[in-house]
Amino acid sequence: MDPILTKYVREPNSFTLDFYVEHEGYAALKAALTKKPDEIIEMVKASGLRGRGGAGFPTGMKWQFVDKKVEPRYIACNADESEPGTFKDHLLMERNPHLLIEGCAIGCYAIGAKVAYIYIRGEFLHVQGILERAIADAYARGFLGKNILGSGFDCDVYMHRGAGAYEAGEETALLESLEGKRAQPRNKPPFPALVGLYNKPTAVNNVETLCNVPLIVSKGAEWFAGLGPEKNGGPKLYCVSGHVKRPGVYETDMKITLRELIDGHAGGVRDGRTLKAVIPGGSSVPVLMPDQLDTQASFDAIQKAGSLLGSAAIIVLDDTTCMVWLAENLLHFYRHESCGKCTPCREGTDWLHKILRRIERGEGQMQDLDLLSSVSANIAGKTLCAFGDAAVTPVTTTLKHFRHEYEAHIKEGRCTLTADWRARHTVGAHA
Amino acid sequence: MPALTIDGTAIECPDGSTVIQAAERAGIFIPRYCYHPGLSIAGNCRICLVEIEKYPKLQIACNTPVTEGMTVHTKSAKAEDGRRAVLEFLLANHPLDCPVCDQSGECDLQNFYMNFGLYDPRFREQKVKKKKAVSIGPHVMLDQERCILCSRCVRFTDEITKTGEFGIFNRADKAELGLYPGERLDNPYSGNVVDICPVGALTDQDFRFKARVWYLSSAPTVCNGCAQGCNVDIHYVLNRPHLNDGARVLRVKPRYNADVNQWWMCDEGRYGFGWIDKGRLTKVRHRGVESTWEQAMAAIAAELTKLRWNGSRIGVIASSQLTNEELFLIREIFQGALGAQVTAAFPTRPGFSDDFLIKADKSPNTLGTTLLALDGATHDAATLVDEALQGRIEALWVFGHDLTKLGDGPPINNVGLINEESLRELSRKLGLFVFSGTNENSTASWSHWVLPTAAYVEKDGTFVNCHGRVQRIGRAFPPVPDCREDWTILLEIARQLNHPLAWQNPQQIFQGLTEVLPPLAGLTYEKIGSLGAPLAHTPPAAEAAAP
Amino acid sequence: MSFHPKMAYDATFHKSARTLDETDKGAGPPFAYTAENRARFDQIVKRYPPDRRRSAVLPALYLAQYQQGYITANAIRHVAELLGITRADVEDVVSFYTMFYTKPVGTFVVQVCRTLSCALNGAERVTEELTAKLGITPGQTDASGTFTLVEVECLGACDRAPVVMVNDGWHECLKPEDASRLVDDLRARGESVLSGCHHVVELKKKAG
Repeated sequence: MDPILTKYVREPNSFTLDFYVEHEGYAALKAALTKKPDEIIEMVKASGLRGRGGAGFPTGMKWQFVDKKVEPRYIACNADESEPGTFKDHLLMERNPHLLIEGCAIGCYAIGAKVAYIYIRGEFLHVQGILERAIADAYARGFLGKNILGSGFDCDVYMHRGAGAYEAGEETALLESLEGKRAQPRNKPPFPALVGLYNKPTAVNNVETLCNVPLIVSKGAEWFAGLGPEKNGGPKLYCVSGHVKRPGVYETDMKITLRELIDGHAGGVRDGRTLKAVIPGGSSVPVLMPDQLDTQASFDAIQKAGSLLGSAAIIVLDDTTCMVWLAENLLHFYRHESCGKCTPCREGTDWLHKILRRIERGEGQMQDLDLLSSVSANIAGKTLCAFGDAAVTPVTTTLKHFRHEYEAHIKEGRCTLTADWRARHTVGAHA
Repeated sequence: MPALTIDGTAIECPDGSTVIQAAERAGIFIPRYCYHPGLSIAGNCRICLVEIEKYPKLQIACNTPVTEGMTVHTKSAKAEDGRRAVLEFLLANHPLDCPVCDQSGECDLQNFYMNFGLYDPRFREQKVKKKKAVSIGPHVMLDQERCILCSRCVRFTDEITKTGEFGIFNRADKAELGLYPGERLDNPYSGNVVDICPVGALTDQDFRFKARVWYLSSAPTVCNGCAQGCNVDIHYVLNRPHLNDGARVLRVKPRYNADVNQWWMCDEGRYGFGWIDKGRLTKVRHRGVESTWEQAMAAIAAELTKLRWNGSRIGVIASSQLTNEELFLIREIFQGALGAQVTAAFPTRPGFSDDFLIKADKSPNTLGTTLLALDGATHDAATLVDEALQGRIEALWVFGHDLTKLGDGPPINNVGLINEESLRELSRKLGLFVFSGTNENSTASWSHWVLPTAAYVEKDGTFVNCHGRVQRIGRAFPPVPDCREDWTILLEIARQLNHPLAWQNPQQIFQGLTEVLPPLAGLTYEKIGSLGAPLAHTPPAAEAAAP
Repeated sequence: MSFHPKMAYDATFHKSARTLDETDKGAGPPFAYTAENRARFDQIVKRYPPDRRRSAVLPALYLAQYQQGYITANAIRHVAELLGITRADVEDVVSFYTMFYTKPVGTFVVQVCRTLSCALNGAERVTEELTAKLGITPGQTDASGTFTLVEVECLGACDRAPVVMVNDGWHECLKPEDASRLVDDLRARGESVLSGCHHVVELKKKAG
């Protein structure tokens, strides 16, 4: 499939309004404004578009759930792209910001919101400049603001800069952060569609999700659904990183297999090494093994294979990768990013990381392995948000497939794998 | 009214109830740390996890709305595993300083561990260290290591007092409870955070290290600090005189009453109990010399008898600190039998008040005096003192009040501020000057007779709070030896005045009272119970006093 | 394990992880926005409903940090007053998000991404090289106040690993062996030596 969302990203001026308008930009918004809001929601439902942030929840349903009896309503665009291995929204906003703005405007029109906030992670300062500029240009050309294109529809889009918190990518934590508080998740129910930003009905959508909306409006739900396997329609951005020759964002439909993505698009495992395992959907999902590479990279197929497509961040691990080290690396991440609100996550991630660090350094004991499983099981399913389940996955998945590596660490009292990309000494987080 | 089943018990509960509330209705206790019925739902501690059929994961009972036909298990293996897991996490970094922790014995970490935990420790890592024993205000001590970050105190200061002192700073395992640097937890309700803290993170500086809580006895009563009449429990120790210089009352805790103070009380009431054990009058005195009750009663009765055809020359300054029963006896004996001038109006400057619990009227039973028409429509304490100074009153009985506090501000009527000089004058002019009360004061030192009486926690009776609610104060423990309840003194005086009254105890007096006072009609001690009962109809004065 | 033999049990052990100091010495110089920043603040606040000024706390803190280099207690006071919230509310936020500094930092804050994809491509070694070159460990600032070295979590540019963020600018594909030269270059020529984000790199290449 030829790229659609990222078709022009290699063009020097792809991010400008002029370029965007020359290439049919904002035509979808114009078309949308001639339809009834409910028709747009029906189209999005018919298209089968599933959220691209990680959960894969049908976007049309989300929009339908938004309580239309309460004013005002909001769209909160989740541009807090922080799942390790994910960098697709980064690219979209940097090179195709007007597509997102158009998606926001259509989304607002569909759910009857007048304001969309794009919550972008603080570290993307260079992207923010581009996005701010694009928003200002869109206002100047009448694609945002009052009475858009003479339709009587008003819509404001604002960028809101985060400040360094993975948890702000959780939809309710994002809303808390937007309200000027710590990015800690809220209890559900109530869901944001009923009680969201400022306690008003809110749709929280990922950048890539909203970028797909203009396509659906201009090319039709049927066309969209027809791309890719059933219930996994539309173009998809895959982020391939790790031990591959050509890491990057690759756009294709979801019929593609992991092998085609890794060996085809990304050029295969680098340095003539062999593939040890693949994380198919960001650091929060279970690994898939080399014999599972022919799995289709769709939401449903990957789930069937025992993992999740998540944010479509494919991290490729070659045979130099120590899986105990990997678990320790990721648990350091989760321990650092835990918001600290609920008990199992706050205490459990710290505990897991401490055990893993001991084992990784060769100071572990055999009973630590059962302890790791048990503590992971005690966190999973008991936390306030999905973070807990995400955080234990690197532990449970490596224990499941690579228990022997843990045992080797404990027996040998050290890591037996050497890799030239690993630290020679313990510094920083490893000190 | 959804109907559901909890642990096999069928229960109906109002729409919008949560599982934890439904369980409470069914008499099933679900452990909780962050959940507090008076605060918003936080959902962060996770100890209230329960198993609900058709839900794949355990759910927190505090935030899960009940639905028709729901089946909840709080004691299934899965639910118990969940609770045990959460407890293990909570205790992972919790210091093991129970032996030196004031909360020990009433700590929900300890209690739930014994009920639901009982696992062997598996945490072999170094515990996270944080600050200990930080005095964060005049009353509260913070230990960050003991804190389980349930955020009850944060929500209390955000939602109830709206003072916002607390915050949770940093994140992940470094998250800690604290105040902004340089801030103090110094609002009028700060002590409540100690009550709601489920662990020993917030302890009471006043109570700190005074006694292990398992030595304490508890009795329900009503705070006498102001007209609100907050329901409280008084915690005391009788058999350990070596502790705290023999003080019996060690702390006061609010007692839940939906119609009065919910779960809360003010610091003024909470820490204002010192007088019960300090500076008490313990001996009958006649002009400074120790005497006996028999001599006092006989002598006082004899003096009063002399004036029995000249009742208006007897003055009685009663008090809105007295119970309805005692005020009723005073009215019967002095106003009724003797024709004396009686008032319970004792004008003082209004005290601190707010729009929550604290009332400007610092008397617990002003409304009771109004009901009994002793609230000074014709004369108040100042007029009686004035008349006494002018020689028109020959016998004066002061109940509890220190006359030097009269007015407590600008002079009222034609009496200047009463000082030691005027008391000496009173003492000289009066034929009989009786002071009955609990604590030493100037009036006691200048009166002819000093009668040591029981403190309110040492006697039974009722108060009427500013909202027209009749509340029983109970009797937490017996009076200090040789002190007597005011009502026994009054009954004895009545007997000696040849005006014996049929009643033997406060309960009987109250029954007598209900027969003559329509607003109390039909009430009994049983009906008042531990939570009080509203007056049959609220007198207009109550409405005015209420705000 | 409070009685673990390795655990020193003394006053210094019981310390808070909070860094904010509100003593006269630690509160920093008196703080108020410059006229320019105040005007920006007034613009930003308009993005949120009038009764939701608190929403502007992150942008407001950024303004303070850009103006002064780091967030002091006095800056917190200023922000709290402008937004009508308590200082504790502001510190809650400051201490939660990683991008605010409560201590002075170096001219160049070198932030090495340490999370998986970067680590698989040598981020640990980059940190090692930088540590050796600068003579400081992550979290520290060098004696001259020029460099602060920090390890950060995933920056979201995993295809260009290892990524290093210097202040707000990006430097991608930093090989461990080039880390030392980056320090020298920064010292000599400032942030202009950074590669920028990868599309900038590509476009530059395209333009020749």
